[in-house]
Amino acid sequence: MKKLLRLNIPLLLAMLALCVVGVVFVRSAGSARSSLVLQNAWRSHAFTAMFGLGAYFACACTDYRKMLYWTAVPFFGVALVLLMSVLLFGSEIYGGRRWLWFFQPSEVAKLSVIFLLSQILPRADFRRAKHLAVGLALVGVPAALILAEPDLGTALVVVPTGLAMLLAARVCRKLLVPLLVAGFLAAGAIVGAVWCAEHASTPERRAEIYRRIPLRPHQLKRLKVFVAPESDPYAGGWNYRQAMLSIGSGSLHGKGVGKGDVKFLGYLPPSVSMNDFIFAVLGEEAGFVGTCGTLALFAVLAFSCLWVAARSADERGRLLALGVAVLVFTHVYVNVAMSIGLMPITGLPLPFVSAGKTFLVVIMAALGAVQSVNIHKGEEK
Amino acid sequence: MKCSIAFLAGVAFVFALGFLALAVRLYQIQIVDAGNAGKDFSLQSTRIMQTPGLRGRILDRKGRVLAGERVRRDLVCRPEAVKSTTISNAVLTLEREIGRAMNLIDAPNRITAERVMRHLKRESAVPLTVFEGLDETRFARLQERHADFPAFDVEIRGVRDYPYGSLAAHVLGHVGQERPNAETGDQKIHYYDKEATGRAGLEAYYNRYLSGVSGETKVRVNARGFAVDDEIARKPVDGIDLATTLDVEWQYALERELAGVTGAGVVLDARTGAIRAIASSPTFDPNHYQTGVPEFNKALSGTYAPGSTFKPIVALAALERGWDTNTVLSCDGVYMQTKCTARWGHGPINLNEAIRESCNSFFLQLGIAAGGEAVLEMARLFGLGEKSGVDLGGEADGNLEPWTFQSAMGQGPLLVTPLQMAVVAAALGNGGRVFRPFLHTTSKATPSPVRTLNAKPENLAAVRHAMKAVVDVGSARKAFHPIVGGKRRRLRVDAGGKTGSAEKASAAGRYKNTWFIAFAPFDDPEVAVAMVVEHGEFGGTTVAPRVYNILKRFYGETEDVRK
Repeated sequence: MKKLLRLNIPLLLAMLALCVVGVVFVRSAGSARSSLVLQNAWRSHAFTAMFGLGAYFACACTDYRKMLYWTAVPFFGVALVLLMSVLLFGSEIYGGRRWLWFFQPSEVAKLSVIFLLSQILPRADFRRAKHLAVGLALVGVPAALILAEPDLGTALVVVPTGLAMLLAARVCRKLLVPLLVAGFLAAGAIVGAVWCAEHASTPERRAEIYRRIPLRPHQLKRLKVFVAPESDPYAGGWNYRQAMLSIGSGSLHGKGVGKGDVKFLGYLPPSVSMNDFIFAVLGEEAGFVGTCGTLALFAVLAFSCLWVAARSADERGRLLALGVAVLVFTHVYVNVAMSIGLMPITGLPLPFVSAGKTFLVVIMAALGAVQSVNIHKGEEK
Repeated sequence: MKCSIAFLAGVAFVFALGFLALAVRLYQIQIVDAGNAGKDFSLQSTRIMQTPGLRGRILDRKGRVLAGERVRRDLVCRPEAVKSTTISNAVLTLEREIGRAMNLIDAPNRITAERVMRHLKRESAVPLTVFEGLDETRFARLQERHADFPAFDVEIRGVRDYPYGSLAAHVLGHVGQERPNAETGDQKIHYYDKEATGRAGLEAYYNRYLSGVSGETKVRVNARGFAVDDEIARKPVDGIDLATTLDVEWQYALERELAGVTGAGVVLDARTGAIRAIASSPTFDPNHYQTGVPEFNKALSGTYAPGSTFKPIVALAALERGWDTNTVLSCDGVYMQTKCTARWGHGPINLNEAIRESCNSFFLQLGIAAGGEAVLEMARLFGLGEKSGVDLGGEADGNLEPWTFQSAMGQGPLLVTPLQMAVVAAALGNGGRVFRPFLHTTSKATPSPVRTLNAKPENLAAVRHAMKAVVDVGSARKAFHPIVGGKRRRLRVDAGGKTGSAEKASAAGRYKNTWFIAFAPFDDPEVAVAMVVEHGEFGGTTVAPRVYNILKRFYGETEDVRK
């Protein structure tokens, strides 16, 4: 009980507020659906949030050092096994194997990477290149397994989170920093190449450029939509265009919760309005006030995690909090940016708001661990 | 520690930049470009449906409905009521539902799968009409079982209806179904209900007046193109009722007399030019209009040689040039190889008698005496050779030129329409006032004549009295004094008239177009009648009795006590 008094209050309140936002907009998005299960998705979202809150306080009250010591390695192992079994036994939905019975192992894997890196990185100095290789492998293997599902979005979240932690732990910065720069340049080059192709003078030249880009067709299509959204407003660009109309027509104050036409009339496809594109529903119904308010709550969350990291007594806690902060920020940034045309479309949930149960529990447990860092900062082991 | 505060500050800085970028972009989308997004979205989700207003009625002068709107119940199917994931699935379901409904109302199902598919692809936001014109039994059956047929509705539509059937068919005209007039500027109209549009007669001439202004309904559609709800953006404005000068009783009387023959007739109000009745025979029923019906209106589009009905004009022209009414000419039955109506000749004959007996020999000489130019000038003053200006389309000019010596007996190149001759009859009766015939009752109480003949009153009176003599003792005497039950009868009022029988050569041989023009009552004429019957025997025997019957209906008959 005494521990609960040492909770980071902004971190807790921002999270609770976001859970409420989530329930409200899952309900709103579900109201446009004919299926009773989806109409009531907000109830199960709320129950999951309750369950997540239990996990949150359980993690907060457990000393993170003990938790990391005992669970980090087994947790990582279990996550790898789950990732492999989802590839073998998972149920196929929308052309991807992401589901194992009732949860998504890839969501769990995100947290396991953070736990593992927090546990092992502070142990010694890892300045050699081989250390970097091991570190990259620890991030890369789960990321590759997730990519194989395929789930590009989630893989894209694991990589920056892991890299930020490796960078923070000074793992062979001599190599890591140039590698990161090279990575950014490569990404920029691909987007640039797609841009050139879309603005190419002849169709033959365009096809020639596309042949040389080492991406899968559907990924290439998403990049095309990102670079030139008006080129194909009905097929590939549809979701993006409708999301933009949805958010744009929300204007300053929005149309009122539950009154969004774009969502209601099914222009924003019901299959995405509750999940990856829920920010568009929020933008339409709550307007600029609502979107910026929600972003502010996420900012409170991310900066509070960094604050906890800065005040942490030891390296493990600092890395843990940093990892969670980067995880939250990456999710929010990628999800919102793709809804408003700042990034190519990748399927990624908006934390707390999108109707994804596994991720909701995982992110709440992760924030609980951050609270644990805050609670136990004064105690030496 | 390896992870420095500075590093954390750097991460915080990156976060801040990220959130800022999102906020700036959101500001751009939701504040700066918000209007465009709203406009684009409503463009994407709104369909404009155009619905015509109720068409105005056509009324006779006593307010009786000659053309109106009848309510028709149509069975329509709303595609949005069927929940299907794919279009082919929706087609199947709709087909089945339509089949079920047709079964219920016991009607053959004419809606094919292709028709349903086409509707779903092009007009999914509006209902599909599956059956037109539900009768009471079918409507009742549908009402009883409506709960079992959620995808169906009964829509009420207006259909043009002519309660009197074929009465005044030519002058009323008929309607066709057309796209309504768009008065919406550059706004795109997605769907429309077809609107009745006048194709002939009054329906066409006063179409703008009758048709009103279309309304607009905004239909909100969902992403699959099905209607979700609608809102009336502009109510349709109903058309205006057209009050006409026609009189059902006169029209009926006229058409009854024309039934069974080919011809045309006009009854004018001699004091105003208002058309009481106008008919062409054979006729048709505009309720069942189809191409090929005899829709040519002979009363104003048909041209005929006037025959002897032209003689009063020749007489008036000659009198104006100084001809003496007492001048006697001789008729021996043939003049310049032209036969007269009396085979052995009328003998010595003056103007009054010549009109009465319709003496060709006399008038051929009179025409020469008066001079062609003077006669044609008089004919022009009576309105011949040009359109009368009636408010109907398709009117013929007729023809006057060139003058031939046979023109004096209404033959040669002369061509007139029955409507023109009705105007002539009215002008002869009313003291020389030539009116523009009209059908639409305007607010103006008494229309002023187009022109008034500058003829000496005594000359006009001489011609009028001669025309009275035609029906009293002349060529129409028998027609106007029929013997019924051994007693000779006559009209209660005096009348003036002129018979005419114009010869016409055709491939099948020569035949006569027979005429009669009349005005009554004689002293202050109220009506003027002109009638032509093709392939008649003689004006006095074929047409005059018909005109007599029409006048009899309104002025009554009495026993003729004079000897």
